[in-house]
Amino acid sequence: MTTATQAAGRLDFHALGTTAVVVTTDGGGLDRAEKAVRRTLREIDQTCSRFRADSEISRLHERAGRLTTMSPLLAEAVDVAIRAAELTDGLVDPTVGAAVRALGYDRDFAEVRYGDPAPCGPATAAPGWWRLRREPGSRRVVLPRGVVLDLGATAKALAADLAARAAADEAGCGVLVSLGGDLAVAGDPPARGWRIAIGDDHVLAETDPATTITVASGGLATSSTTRRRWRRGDRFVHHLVDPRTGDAVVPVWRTVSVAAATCVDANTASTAAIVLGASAPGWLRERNLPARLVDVAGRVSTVAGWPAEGFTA
Amino acid sequence: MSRAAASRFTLRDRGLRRVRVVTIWSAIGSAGLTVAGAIALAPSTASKASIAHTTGTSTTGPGVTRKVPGGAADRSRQPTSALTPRPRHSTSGPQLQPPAAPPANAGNGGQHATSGGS
Repeated sequence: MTTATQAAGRLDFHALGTTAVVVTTDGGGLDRAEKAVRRTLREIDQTCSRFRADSEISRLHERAGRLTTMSPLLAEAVDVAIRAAELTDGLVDPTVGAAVRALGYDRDFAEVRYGDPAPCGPATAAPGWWRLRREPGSRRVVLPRGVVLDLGATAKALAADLAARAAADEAGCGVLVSLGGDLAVAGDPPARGWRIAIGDDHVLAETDPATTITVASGGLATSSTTRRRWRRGDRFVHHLVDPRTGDAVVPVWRTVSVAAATCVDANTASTAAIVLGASAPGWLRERNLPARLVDVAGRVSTVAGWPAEGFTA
Repeated sequence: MSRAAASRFTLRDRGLRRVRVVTIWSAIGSAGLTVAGAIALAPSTASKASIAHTTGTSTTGPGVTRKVPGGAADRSRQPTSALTPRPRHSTSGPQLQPPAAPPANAGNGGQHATSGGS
């Protein structure tokens, strides 16, 4: 991987089924930042991973139909997912779990990527986030029987936000945390901002970025239909599911990058844009969310203040 | 009091008790019918909205027409399940938060991190 130009400290490691990157403005703070990030990611994994039988969300599924008190972290993750569903009118819905499983994404992606010759069963729309019975002002919830939660879309972004904040507090400097290309920054940024290379693939963007931008605060997320794909029967499917159909989105955009006040909001918007398809630019513009959209033919659109390409600072 | 008078009072009391019992059961019956009627006549969307209201997640206001994401142009290519009623949110309510400042072009050079599909 390339070296960061202005970073005083940087490290990469594997976490949450993807690459985690921690960058600090002060090299002396990197160890403390790393510890804070690893702790946060461990907690998120133990709480929200649907691939772990011992995770709290797996226990919640076992208690479906009964009133259950969640840990503060799971309550936050569930509330973040419900908020994402509310603010996107269901384009991002945590109840897509059964649909994602039906497509074959029922274990860690490292095991799914080799595909399955068996065809998918009929797609079924997500039951809907409103079926979750969240008791206001408490950590109690009733998950209706048959509803399977997948917090993947928002939990990873929440992890980036929480990790960046905790790391900046403990390291006492500016910190960037990226989880597979969904990133959050906290603390004082470098003098010229955080430089982020954008591409269809967050790994290839290290050496062959489509564009490079700077951000000073908040979060940035990219959703793509070109990664996390696998063969299922006689077709390729990917992990971005339309809750309205329960099937993988028919891509209009291959990649959508969004900047927002938090990584959660950026991720929510980029996922919603992929699901929304052709209407996404207007939807993002209405919300004043700077975004870069690349359609399946490779044509680039930018909205709401995302810098036009071809300009050199 | 004579035996005849006592017997008349007993009969009257018994009659009054019967009237009271009939009145009470009649009131309970009509209250039950009213509730059953209200449940039967309530629109199906109202029950979903009330569920969401219980969860404390909906900012739905009554009488708001649901906007299908993507607008009417997208409606034709959407599956029928996309048109099923769902809790709605007001456009004046909370929204996704834009960044404090939009990103700027960094030009050429290295980077601290990347963002892309994963």
